[in-house]
Amino acid sequence: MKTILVVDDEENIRQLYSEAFKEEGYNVLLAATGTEGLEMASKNTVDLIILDIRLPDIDGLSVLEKLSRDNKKEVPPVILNSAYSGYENNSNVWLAEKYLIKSGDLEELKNTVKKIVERK
Amino acid sequence: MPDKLNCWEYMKCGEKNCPAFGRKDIYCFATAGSKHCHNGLEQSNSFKKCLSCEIFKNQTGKDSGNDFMGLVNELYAELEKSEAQNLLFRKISSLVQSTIEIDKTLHVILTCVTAGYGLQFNRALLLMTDESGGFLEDRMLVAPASKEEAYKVWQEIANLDVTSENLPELINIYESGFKTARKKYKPGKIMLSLAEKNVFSLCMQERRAVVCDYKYRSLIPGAFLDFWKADYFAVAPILSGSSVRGVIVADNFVNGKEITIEYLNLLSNFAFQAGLAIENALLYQNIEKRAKELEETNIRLKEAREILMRAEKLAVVGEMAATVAHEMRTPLISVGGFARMVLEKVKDNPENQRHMEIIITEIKRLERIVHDVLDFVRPFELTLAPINVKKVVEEAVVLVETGRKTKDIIKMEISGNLKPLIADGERIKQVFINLMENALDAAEITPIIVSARVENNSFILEVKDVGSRIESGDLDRLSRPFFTTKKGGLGLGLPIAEKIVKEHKGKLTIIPNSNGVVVKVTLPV
Repeated sequence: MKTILVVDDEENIRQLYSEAFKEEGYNVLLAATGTEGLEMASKNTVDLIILDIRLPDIDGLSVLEKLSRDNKKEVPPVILNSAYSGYENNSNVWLAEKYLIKSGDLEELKNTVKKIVERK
Repeated sequence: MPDKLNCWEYMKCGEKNCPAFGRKDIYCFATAGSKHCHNGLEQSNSFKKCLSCEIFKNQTGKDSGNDFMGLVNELYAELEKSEAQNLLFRKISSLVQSTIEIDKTLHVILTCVTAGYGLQFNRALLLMTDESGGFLEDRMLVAPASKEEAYKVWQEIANLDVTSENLPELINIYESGFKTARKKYKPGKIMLSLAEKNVFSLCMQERRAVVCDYKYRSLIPGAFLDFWKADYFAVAPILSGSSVRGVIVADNFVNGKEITIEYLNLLSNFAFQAGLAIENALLYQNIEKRAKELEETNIRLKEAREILMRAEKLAVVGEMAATVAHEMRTPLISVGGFARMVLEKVKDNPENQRHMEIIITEIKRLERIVHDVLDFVRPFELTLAPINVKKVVEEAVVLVETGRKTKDIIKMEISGNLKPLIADGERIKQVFINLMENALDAAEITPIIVSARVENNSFILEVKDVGSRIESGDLDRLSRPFFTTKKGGLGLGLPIAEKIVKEHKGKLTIIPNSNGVVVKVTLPV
């Protein structure tokens, strides 16, 4: 069973993603802050991270940078997932596999996750 | 009366205090003695009485062997005339200072030039420079139409004491007396070039009055001679500050009287007054112009303030909308997500399924609104790169047509070898999407046509439709955020498109024509 880590400060979004991806047959880990996300990523074997950008402690782009600098482990593919557009021009965005705008319609997110995980 | 009788002998007055009393070597009128003879009158006035005194006549008349009397009479007449002119002058001066009706003032001056007790010229003509300053044009004429008319009027004013307060009366007599000439004369009969050397240009250049006679005939322009029909006249420049505004021409065509240097100087003084009058009038006009400018500036300022106030109001509304949209975004995502999840689970219950579908449709609408509002208020940076306009339009067309579940309702007229446009491709795509959505919502007849071309160093992009109408009065409001005529529309499509175009330093214009609307986007190459 593949493991997905969801890093999002909004409880309802975490809940939504958790249920949706469990239904799809994934093991889902949840983190509410950037630090928590980094910790869980290092302690567990994670196949994919869905990472929010606006987080209360360190933002998603910094989390992404820290993950990439950590040479001890292979970095799992990351889907940046924000409610806002406008981060496209940030250089750290290129470290992510995909940048998706958050939507209540999860079809595109589900398809992207499936594609990336299967490719792995 | 006995010969050489002195006053004190004649009067038998016995005034021993009088300086003339008892003396034979001095005339009484030459001393203060006359004071005693004429009830203490002042010297200047009492001398007038001396003129009619028997003693005076006896001692100074022709019989006395010296024509002193004749000389005095002549001098006295001169004195009276110059006194009259002096008064007239003062009257004109005060008139010039008190009136801003330039034509009226100039008319009074010309009348005085020809008045019997004024300068006694027979006629006077005012010539003024035109706006370019290169030509002299006739503006006003005071003259009798004929000798008969002249004598009739002069007879009438002969009895009028011009030195008193009756200048207006004099002008009335002139106006009614010279009616026929006034009727016949219309200004603008002659136009004299100042570039030529002639008596007028010389007078203006040298800023001094001259008497022109037949000796200078070669200096009199033909056009003037045809009009004036005389080659003996005086010309005086009208000086106004550092410039010369024109000339006054005067002559004695009726009585042929000589124009003396004295009269020329007087004419010069009258012309100077005319200059002051013009100066005054110009100053007044200038003030009026300035006042008008000030008024206009005031109006513009008021308009600008209104625009600013509207913009401020709009900014506040925009900010508020953005805050609300921002707060709504995340809850909408989870509501939408769970709603879709529930929908999957109620597919066996058609009624529940229908309800959930309505919920999801409405959420989608809310999501769209939130997205538009945030897109509009968010400041953005352009990512400029050479873009293939045809490709960008094709992508936009696919998006729009897929969203509407239609095909081939948008036609493209774009050449494959159009040169690349330096722009933010994603933003330009958004512009096309918004314009095409608007056109499709409004047009009655499809297809709508999207075209692109290069013209005069500009990229011209057009979205043309047939059948849509813009209500009169709506045109100005179309680009205003939150203005919409659509049911369920938010009114941000066009403002967003315009904002993007402006960020590209371009221009968006809406051109309604007889059968539809063309939205034209001009971008710098």
